[in-house]
Amino acid sequence: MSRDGAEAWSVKRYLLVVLLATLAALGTVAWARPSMFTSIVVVAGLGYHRESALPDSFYSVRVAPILEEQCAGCHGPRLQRARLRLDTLGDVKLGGKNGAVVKAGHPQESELFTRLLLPKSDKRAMPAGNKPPLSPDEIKVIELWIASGASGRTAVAAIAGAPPPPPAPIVIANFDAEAVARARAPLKDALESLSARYPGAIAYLSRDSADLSVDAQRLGAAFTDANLAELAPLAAAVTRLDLSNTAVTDGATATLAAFERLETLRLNETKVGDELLSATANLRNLQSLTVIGTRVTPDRVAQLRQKGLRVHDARD
Amino acid sequence: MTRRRIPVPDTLADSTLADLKRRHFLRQCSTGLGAMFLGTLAHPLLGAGKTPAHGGRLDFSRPASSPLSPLAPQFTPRARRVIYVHMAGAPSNLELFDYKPELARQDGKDCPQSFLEGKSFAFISGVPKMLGPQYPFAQAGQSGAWMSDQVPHLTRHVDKMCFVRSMRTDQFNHSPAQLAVQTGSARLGHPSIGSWVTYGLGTENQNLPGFVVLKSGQNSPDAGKPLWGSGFLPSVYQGVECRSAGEPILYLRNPGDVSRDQRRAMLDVLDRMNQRTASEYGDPETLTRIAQYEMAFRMQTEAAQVLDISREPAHVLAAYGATPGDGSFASNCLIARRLVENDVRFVQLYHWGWDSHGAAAAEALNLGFKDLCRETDQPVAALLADLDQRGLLDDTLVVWGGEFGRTPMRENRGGQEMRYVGRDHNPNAFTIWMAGGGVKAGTSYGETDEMGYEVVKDPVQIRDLHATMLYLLGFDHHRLNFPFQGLDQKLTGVEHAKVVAGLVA
Repeated sequence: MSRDGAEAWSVKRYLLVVLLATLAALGTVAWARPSMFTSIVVVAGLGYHRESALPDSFYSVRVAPILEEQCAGCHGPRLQRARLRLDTLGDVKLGGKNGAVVKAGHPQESELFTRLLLPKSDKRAMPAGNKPPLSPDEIKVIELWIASGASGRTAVAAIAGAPPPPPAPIVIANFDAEAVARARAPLKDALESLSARYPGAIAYLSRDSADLSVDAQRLGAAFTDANLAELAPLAAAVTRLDLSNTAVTDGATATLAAFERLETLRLNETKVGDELLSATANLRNLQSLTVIGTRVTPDRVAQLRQKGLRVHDARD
Repeated sequence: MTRRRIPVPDTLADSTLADLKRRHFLRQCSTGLGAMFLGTLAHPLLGAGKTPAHGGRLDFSRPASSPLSPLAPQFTPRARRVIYVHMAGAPSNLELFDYKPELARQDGKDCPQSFLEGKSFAFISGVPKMLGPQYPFAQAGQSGAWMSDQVPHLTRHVDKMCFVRSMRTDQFNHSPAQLAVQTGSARLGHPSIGSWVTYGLGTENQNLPGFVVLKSGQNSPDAGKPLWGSGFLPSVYQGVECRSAGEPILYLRNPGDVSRDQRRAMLDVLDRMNQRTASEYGDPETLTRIAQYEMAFRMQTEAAQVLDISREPAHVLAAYGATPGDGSFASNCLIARRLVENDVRFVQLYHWGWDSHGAAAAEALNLGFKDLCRETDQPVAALLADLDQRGLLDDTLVVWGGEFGRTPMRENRGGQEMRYVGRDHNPNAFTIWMAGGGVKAGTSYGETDEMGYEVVKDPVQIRDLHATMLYLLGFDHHRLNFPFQGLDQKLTGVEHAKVVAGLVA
């Protein structure tokens, strides 16, 4: 009986020692290698909550793009140097084989920040290898984020003093040839016959657009008000019209008013005057008007400039 | 009767060839041919119906008789034409646009070792001294950009300009570096930017070349004609060199006793002969030749007028500081304005002499450099003002720049202190500026370190600049391409190039 009791006691004692040893080991790991501890907790299924960031947080808008471009090549889905990933907030908080890389509120104690400041000659300097260092602005963003608590919830506006964000990268969309053809279809026949009549004068602004540019400059004095009137079927599609050096006069005022989507209008060295420019009241998109060598008066030019139009008359 | 001796091959290559028996040859040949055949099949089989990563192919084909006829850009452009002012020899950014007060404080001190390790220089040897900016700087305009007192005229237009202070190149000798800036490749045989642009867009005025080159300064740029060559593009897209002194275009005018009618009759006969050659051999270069003869005939009247700046009123000549027929940079700037006004697509100016090593007075920062600034500052400023007044700056892209930068160290050729003040080549950082057509006016992009030696913020590679220029002209740089040697060749080459969003308004 006592022998059995002693046996049970020794099993109990043995289990207790094992338990204490395990806890001590876990404690040591948790103290020295927090990321490993977190991994163990996650693997054990003990409900570790992976932190995630709000899409409009300072982290998502400012920090994540920098980490993605500068760090995720070696610390991301493809490679995990030092068992560290920096492609999501959860991973950033998890740290790598050397422990946490972020100490919230303390950038000077966070390797995610301090390693960026090391000279290139230091082998712990990041980014490693031949990659150029982060820009001062990028380093500042990371510093501010850690100092503010390294959270995925802090709003962009809540962190003061951040350098202005870089402009969004330019993405050139592929155009849909069929959609362009559909947009061009209504005026196709009119354009074909008028292009044959005025070769080289009418062109699409670009391959992905149905807008037209009309340049009658090279037709010179042979191009009159009547010729401009012939282009009326296309008027609503024209955004750029150059009538310089032509014989167009104030008589074309009504015709011109129909070119209601014009953005650029050039009338250099023509006989037009203030009257023709009354048509511009109808041209709501007009941005740039050039009237060098015309009868347009300085008063009218001043008036149009007041309305916000860029008027070029080479007199200033 | 003696037996013929078997010849002993003396090189390994010869022996390999000798070992290759007829049967081996045929066997290898047939597999080789088979592989080649499969190679030709593979493309349509694997690639059919698949859109390449950057969208379908844009069609740049034109009738052989009008290779320069205009084509629409891919998307609505911000710039319709370009004036590129290349300052050959690499002007010092540290004396013009990149203000470095810390460098002034280091003036005369030994260069830190970290600047020299792993670097190679054209002339600097040993430990050179740092050299502070040679001219005072002041802030100008709304943008507050720092400008040297050597460009007083340009300073007035600082709010039209967009500085890129973080240009980098991988070439540190003039010829390859100029080729890199102008053709996208340091090696010969690539089309210049102007050639790419005229290939992509053609030109609206068929009576003038689409791509005109004007040179000034004592010499041609170091890399010479390949800078405006068409490379592997059809030669009709190469730059046409015009002159602002003497005959504007060499050999264009009829000799005194040849009338225009006679010239026409002669060209008609020549045309029939060339057409026969073209149909016999099918070489597109023959058709190019026919088109060029015809263009030259049309140019005889119009080019002479456009290139003649004596038609300009006196106040315009005075604004540029140009004298008709003097062949100066000022005259070339005025001609450039007349050309773009007449729908020339791409005007390339070169002004030589910026190689300020300090080995002679002409290339000293305190002497020759001043003269160059005086020769070029007023004309470029007048060009910007003139384009702006005429409403042309809205859609004309102006680019100004050299091929690399210059060191913050004073050059010490042969380890000696030199008689004149100069700087060596620095490919790691230089400044260019742009104006007009869709660029962000009144801004600066990128930064160099305190000494102006290396880029520390937003580096811009030459291919990025090219991609950005093409973007402003309405092209994705991937899609302005030309098939050659099995590759869709591009101005930006095969390395990753990006459109620099920070430069686009």
